[in-house]
Amino acid sequence: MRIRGLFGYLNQWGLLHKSGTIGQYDWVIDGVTSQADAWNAASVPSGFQATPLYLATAQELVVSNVVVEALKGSTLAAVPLLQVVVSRAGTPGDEWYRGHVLLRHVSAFSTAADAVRVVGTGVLDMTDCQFGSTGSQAFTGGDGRIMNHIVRSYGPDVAVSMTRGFARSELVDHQLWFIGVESLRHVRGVNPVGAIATPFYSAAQRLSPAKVTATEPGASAPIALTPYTVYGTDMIVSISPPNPSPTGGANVTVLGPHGHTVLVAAARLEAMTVRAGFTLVVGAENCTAVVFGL
Amino acid sequence: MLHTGPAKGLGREESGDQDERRSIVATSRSGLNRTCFLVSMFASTIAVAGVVVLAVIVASHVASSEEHPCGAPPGAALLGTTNTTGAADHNVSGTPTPYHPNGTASSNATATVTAPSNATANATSTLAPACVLRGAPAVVSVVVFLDQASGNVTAVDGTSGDVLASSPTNASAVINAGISALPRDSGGTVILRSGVYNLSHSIQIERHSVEIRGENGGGDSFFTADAGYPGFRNKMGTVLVAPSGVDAIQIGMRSFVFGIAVTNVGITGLESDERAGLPADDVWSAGSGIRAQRVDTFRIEGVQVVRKEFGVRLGPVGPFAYDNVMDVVTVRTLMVSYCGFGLFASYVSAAMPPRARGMSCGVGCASCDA
Repeated sequence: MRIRGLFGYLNQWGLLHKSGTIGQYDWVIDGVTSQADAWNAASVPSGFQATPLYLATAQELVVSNVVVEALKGSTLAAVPLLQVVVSRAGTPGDEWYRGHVLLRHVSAFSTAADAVRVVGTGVLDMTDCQFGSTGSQAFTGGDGRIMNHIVRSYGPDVAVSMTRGFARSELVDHQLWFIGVESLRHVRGVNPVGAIATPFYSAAQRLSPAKVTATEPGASAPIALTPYTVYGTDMIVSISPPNPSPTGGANVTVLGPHGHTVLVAAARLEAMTVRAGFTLVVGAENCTAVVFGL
Repeated sequence: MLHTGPAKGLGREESGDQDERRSIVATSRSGLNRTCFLVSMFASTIAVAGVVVLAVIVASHVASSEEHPCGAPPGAALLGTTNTTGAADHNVSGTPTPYHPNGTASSNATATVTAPSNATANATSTLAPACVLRGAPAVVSVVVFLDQASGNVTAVDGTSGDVLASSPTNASAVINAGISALPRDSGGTVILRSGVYNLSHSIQIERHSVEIRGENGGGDSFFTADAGYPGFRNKMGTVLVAPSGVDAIQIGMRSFVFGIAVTNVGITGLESDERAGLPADDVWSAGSGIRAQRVDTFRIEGVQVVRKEFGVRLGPVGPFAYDNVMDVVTVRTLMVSYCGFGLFASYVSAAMPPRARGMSCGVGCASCDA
């Protein structure tokens, strides 16, 4: 399936609803302009998601050069601007497929909900995408704000990355801008992340600038002997033992992405750069940590 | 006078460019209900010369061998395929006898082509021309137009000008009659001249290689109430008006079809004239602008759909099956506005509500919107 030059205006439930099972082998979509689509989510037929672009795929999906502005009059949309369904294994009657999605050169504005929602098991890579606005205006002069998450991944195991571009959410807690995102690099407004107050997610065993799920709270310090894999961005990590210090100090171990040992039994870490994909284990209880995301 | 393949022009190559060069004048010849094309003499000469060349080639090959030169059954007629670059002023009559690969074609081709005496066959072929021609596309055209004087919608054979169907009220039937006039196996083009065609039921494509081609893409549907714009349907262009419960164009609803195109048409679900006042943003009529269920090698280009429940809807109803897959589909320059879903590509499971399934609207089911 090849789509080039799709224009939408005021379509109540969305401009493009692409199932994973119609022409499921691969789609290439290039050149989409959506204005005020999915404005009437309340009336969408049962079983469907109102969103300007609903993109599900069984295998490969490439989407490029897209502008979505969901403002209708002065009212922000109440729906995600893009919903991506990758390799979703569903219940009977639902869809069952797997795939890879590339989003390139996307500008999306104006929603009280999320900019991008992702569900499934697969891969979503976004490059050169812009979400939200530095001010209150989008390119049309209206309200271009993103009021909720920039990207919210529901998983269960979808690898989401965003490289280059721009993002701004109105959420005060920056850790809520991205949920369940594996990699954030060179995104203006996001990178460098700076100090992260609660980067340790013990249940997910992640050290992340973004929340793993919307509900799991992060912690400011690690739990002893829990391996934390660095997600999202590279990190500058400092770990200090409690006072009084136990024998061996904090007893920090750093492993590479394939389990190779980088550092063993360090009494403390002093502003060590730990790359995304590496794993950090702290041996002592009650250590303190200072973490910066790059 | 030469004798050759299919009659009524249905088997002759007729490019869209040729048709577009023509001007159509719907006339009534003392009740004969005929329509004539007016063409330039220059174009006629070129085109007719091409026909003569073809006719000579085909006639010589078919007549001189008992076996069909391309392996088709003896006596099978060839679809004429010319490289004409102009329009023709000719008179063709007879019985259509398209070539059938399965050997069912009859050999009673009696078409006649009248050529002016100065038409010169200026080409000689050292190839096996009949074989070459067999592989070429058999482009056949039907022209549908709205007669401003009578208000009739009329479909004419794009080659001969013979009237295929005409009605003051039932544009759907006229257009469908035009589609039905195309060869079942090789299809052709139905050209919808600029005008507003009020459909009472769907235009249905259930045969291969059919193109529905309008003019001027239906205008700009963005600003229907703008004072600078006279309204969507009133702009120069081909506009199909599909009321509630009617898909403007249905493709492959009963059989799997290939090689379909819909180009340069505007479709609206709004029966009233927008100039009377722009309806609310949530006003649309049930059904689709284009509804394609089982089709591949399908092209949509230069199409606008306004105020239908689905702008373009691709996909079958019912459980997923691999023979329902639409792979080779291209969409270029599609504008959809004020619809429910713009471009909707999905199979729909039976568990979904009737409206979402779309079975209830426009396809003969009585439980619309249940």
